[in-house]
Amino acid sequence: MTTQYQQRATIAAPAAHIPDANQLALALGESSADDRTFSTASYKDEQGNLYAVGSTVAKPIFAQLAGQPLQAPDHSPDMDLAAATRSQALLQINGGIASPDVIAVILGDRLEAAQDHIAALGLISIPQTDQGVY
Amino acid sequence: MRAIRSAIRPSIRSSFGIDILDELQALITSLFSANEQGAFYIPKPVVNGVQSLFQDDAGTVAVTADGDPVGLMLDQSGNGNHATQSVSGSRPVNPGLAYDGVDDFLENSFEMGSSDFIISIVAGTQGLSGDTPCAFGLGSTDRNGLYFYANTSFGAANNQVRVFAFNAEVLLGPDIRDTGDRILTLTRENNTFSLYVDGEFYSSGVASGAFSEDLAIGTKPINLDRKYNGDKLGSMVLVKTSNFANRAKIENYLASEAGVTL
Repeated sequence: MTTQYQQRATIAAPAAHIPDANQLALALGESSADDRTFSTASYKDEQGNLYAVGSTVAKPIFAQLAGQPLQAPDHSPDMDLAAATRSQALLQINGGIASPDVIAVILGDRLEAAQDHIAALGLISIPQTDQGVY
Repeated sequence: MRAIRSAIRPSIRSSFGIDILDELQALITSLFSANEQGAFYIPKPVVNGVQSLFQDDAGTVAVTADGDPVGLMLDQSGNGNHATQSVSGSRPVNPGLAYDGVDDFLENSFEMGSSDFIISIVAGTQGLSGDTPCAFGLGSTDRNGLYFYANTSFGAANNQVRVFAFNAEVLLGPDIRDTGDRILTLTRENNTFSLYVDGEFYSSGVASGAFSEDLAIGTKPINLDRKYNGDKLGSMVLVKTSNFANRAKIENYLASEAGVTL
């Protein structure tokens, strides 16, 4: 048996675009909970710009759907299609490092490591060693 | 001697027709037959002939292949504490399970309260790095939480296992980075927490209080941050019990299944 999930996609949503990016995730994803794909902006680029990052295995149809006009999926018929479409316009697949005005995606083989994708996006995680909270 | 015994056990089982599933059923009976609360997770697509991993949290699409995401992992204990992930991009991947260290985790609502317990997990340690990758946690607030970090990068505990409970450090463990699969066990006996690594006692500490609900595997429950980035998190047992003789039974089973020599 071979998995349908032959790719890994790692996506950097700039902090300002997290709400729209979550609507895009809802449009392209398989669950009505996918509007919670991007949460805390816990990564930063060299300039200190903040991003929420998601990484997942994906079916090859992911890239195809990402380039087509979006439709609300059956699991979320009332989603915000306008927000998702705004986010879709910012997609940059395998186009290099993250920046605040694009939603950068690294799309590769399913066996590639998410951490390698994040490095390719030019991002590092922000240490979470907050004082007094464990 | 133990290493030799471990190495020949599979062939002995095969020769005498003793299946590992018999061993599993015996362990489940031993741990949970008196209505003990807890959970027993075996991250394999089929367990005891029953489909046990599903791609979606509703359990409609079976996991059948390496590379499939896991949105539902059934609890084998009979308590119905199944572990789920509703966000499709945050699902770990079969086999392993492999958590990507970015956003993958599973969760349920399991209340440990102030009970004595045994929690044991198979932790893949290859690639462990970074801030505070959390193998598992219990609790919806820091004050009432239990957090089992497989690695920490702050304070004096650099790169060591570290356990926090009730908003304070309880104990420190060894540096387990890149040491293959390890059997990590945490027990609570009254207010004493003890850490065992591959069946051997390592350290203990004292803390008091009751844990609020929310079990998370592969992350810290509160804020859902501090994702586990070792190469896998395998089978896991949580049981409210004061019968600590069961610890060795659990560890022996997990070690046998994971190919770890105790």
